[in-house]
Amino acid sequence: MKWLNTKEGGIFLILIALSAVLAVRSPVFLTMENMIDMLKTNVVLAMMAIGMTLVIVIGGIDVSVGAMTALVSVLIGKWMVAFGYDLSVVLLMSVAGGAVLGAINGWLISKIRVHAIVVTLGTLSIYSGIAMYVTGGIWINNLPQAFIDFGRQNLFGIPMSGGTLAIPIQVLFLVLVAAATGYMLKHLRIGRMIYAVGGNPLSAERAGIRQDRVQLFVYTYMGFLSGLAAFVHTSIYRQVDPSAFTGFELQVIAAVVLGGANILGGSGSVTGTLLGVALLAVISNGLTLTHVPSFWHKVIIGLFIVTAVSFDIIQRKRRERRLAKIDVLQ
Amino acid sequence: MFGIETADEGEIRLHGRKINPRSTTEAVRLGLAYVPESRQTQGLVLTQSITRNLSLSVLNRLTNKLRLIVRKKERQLAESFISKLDIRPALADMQAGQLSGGNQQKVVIGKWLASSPKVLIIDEPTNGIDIGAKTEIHKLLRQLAESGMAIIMISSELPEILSACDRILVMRRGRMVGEFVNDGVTQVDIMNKALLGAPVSSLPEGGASA
Amino acid sequence: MRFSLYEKVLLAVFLGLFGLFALTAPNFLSETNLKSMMVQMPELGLISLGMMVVILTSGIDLSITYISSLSGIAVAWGLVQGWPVPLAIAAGACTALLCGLFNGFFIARIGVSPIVLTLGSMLLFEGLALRVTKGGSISGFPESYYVIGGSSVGPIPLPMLFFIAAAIVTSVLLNRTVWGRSAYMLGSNPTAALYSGIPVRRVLIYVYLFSALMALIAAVIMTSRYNSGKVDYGSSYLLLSVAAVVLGGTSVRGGSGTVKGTVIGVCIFQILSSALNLYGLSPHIVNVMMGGILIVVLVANYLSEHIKHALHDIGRVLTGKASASS
Repeated sequence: MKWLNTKEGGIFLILIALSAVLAVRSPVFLTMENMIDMLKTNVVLAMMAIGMTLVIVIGGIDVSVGAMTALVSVLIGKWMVAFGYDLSVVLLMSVAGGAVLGAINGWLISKIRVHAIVVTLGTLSIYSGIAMYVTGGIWINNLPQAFIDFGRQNLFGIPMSGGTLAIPIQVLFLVLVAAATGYMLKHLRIGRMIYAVGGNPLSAERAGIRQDRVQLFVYTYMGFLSGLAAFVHTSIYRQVDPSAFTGFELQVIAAVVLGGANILGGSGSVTGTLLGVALLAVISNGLTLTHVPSFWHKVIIGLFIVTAVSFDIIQRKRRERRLAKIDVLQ
Repeated sequence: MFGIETADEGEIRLHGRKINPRSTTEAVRLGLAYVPESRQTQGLVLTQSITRNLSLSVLNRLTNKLRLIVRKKERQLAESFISKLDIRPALADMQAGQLSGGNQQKVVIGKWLASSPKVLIIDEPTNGIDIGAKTEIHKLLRQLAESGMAIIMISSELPEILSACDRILVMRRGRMVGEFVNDGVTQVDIMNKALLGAPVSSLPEGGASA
Repeated sequence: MRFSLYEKVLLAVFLGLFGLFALTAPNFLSETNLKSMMVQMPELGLISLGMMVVILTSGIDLSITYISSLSGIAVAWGLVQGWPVPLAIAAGACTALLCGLFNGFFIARIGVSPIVLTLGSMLLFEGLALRVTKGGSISGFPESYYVIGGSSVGPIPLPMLFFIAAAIVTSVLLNRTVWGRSAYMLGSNPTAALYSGIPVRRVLIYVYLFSALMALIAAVIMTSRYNSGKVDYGSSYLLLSVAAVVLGGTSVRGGSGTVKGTVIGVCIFQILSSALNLYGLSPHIVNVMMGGILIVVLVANYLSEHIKHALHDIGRVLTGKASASS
């Protein structure tokens, strides 16, 4: 019961409420097929949002994530077309490539002391420019069959009344990422350091935490996850579209913020972010299922974000006033 | 009192009239001034010049008919306060962040003097300031009080309180627990009240009279 | 006009690049190209001016380009209804000001972080624009409207004159009005500004209204040039405007920056983009180079600060002035 009082609990309740409304309005919503479809569509968003959570917790931001994913998918796409598919090679390439791109971001941000948004704006242009140039804007279609088969795999295969409960393999990746990142944030030293730097950089510095090292790690990890996301995305859609991720970073940031993270740093969690992703997913799915014309989608999501963050801020301010009062009244 | 927060209970009276400033802008208009506890993070814009810091609260009075700031007026204001308060170095365009603690505090006070306030609330006036500047500031406050300005000093330095103040209110956790007229009061008396005094339900008549 | 050291360097870079391009880029100095540059530049320039003022207050306005397209669509709609040009433009102005007020209200009164709020409002405005145009474009304007985007006073196209006027007005507003001065102080230290009696909320609302207004003027120019109103007109200017503003010396942390710097920054990006196109480079490579240049500039800026400090310290030691206190 106590959990419901936390920020994540609140978001979870909103999620349940929305889902309930949706289940009533559309009979398709709660079907196995729809659920799995939602999962598949949002695995990539979820993975990247998890990476972005760390970035936002340390008070930074990375608007180049869409471009990083695009570039890595172009990289592995071209590789597979030329050299065929080998799971370990391609997977390694994806995460290593992504990590390198992320490390460039991290290195620049930590060394030249310029705000992350400007640096990542620059790398955004560079990475997406390269991706587009190398492909000429054309999609890469002829991926090796072995890869496509890999992407089609499902775990389990339990027949149920609504259909077969078959979880796509990509979800496994997400689960591993979520578990690993959550564990890292809660139980490993690096996790503590990340929260410390985000909460109060000065104190963290005085406590001996090297802010530049933490930044380097966080942005590299973001790149690592972007690379993995590229691998997963390509395995789902079976082709590479170099412009598929344009503007994606905004959705990623929105998911993290909706998940309760403070944009100024210091708070945020994997659970919260996943809930944020779920919220966005349910809203999108709901809008489609209830046949709301597509132009209203953006309006509604935009209004939702504005309302959600406003409530969050108002609550936070109220909490601060209450704390100040308690101090006085005792 | 200064409009940073709204009051939960009680009332504020200035010259007998009830006031309730809901913003700092309104407070300034009513004739209040506030020198905050942390001059570097709350009182000054460290990256800007002494001039710009001095004029910050009275920008509206430095404009011409077209509502544009008249540089000459601003300059004159800055120079007059630099000399009146003996701010060193006397370089109007020097960055406020490069001044010593005492001089920084003088700039903050100067900013408020420019608005000719009726009430000056000053929080920890000589925190982290060297002895020479300390005495200067105390002398200044005394002069201002004698010229008719009401000064509310918030301080945790007992010697400072005893040397500068006419009346002393002791507070604990947001409630008033003691009141003295500074006539033979000792530090022990004040500390006794601070630690053991019982909360008084309301402020006696007189308040902060000018 | 006083130019800071950084601005002088920037100006030198601009002139140097201009010279380089004049010599090596085919047709750079041709009338078509010069005219084309002078017509494109104001759009980016106006958006950059609006963005600069917002960044001064250590905020950001991600929705500015969609305020531009939405108000442009409002103007287009009015024109298509047969309204006289000034009335249609007024419709656009109302739309822009409403958007600006929306942003300003949530950022100033409720206190939402600008980056997050404008992320939401950006989607909102884009969605509204899509709703009106259904993804297509609105066209069919009266002849008189083309005057705005198409005509010139002598060799200088009208849009450019609008931009120059806007730049001058912005400069005056920032340097000489209480609002402008308050914006600078607010950006450097919001607490100190508030504690000094600055009406922080009001200042911020005007800031976002200002950026919306700049977006409107850009929209009028764009719709006149393209003879239609569409959702994605100007959307690429978001990144470029932030880049130009930062290149021009404005700090993302707020509190510093000048109109001169921003204008030079915009000019540099404009001639870069035009010249690189004239070289026949793929637009993707142009993007890569723009990003690369931004990073190079940031690194150079950092290094120069470092060098300056190092020289300063060396100077102190050499002249024996190195002392414990200052």
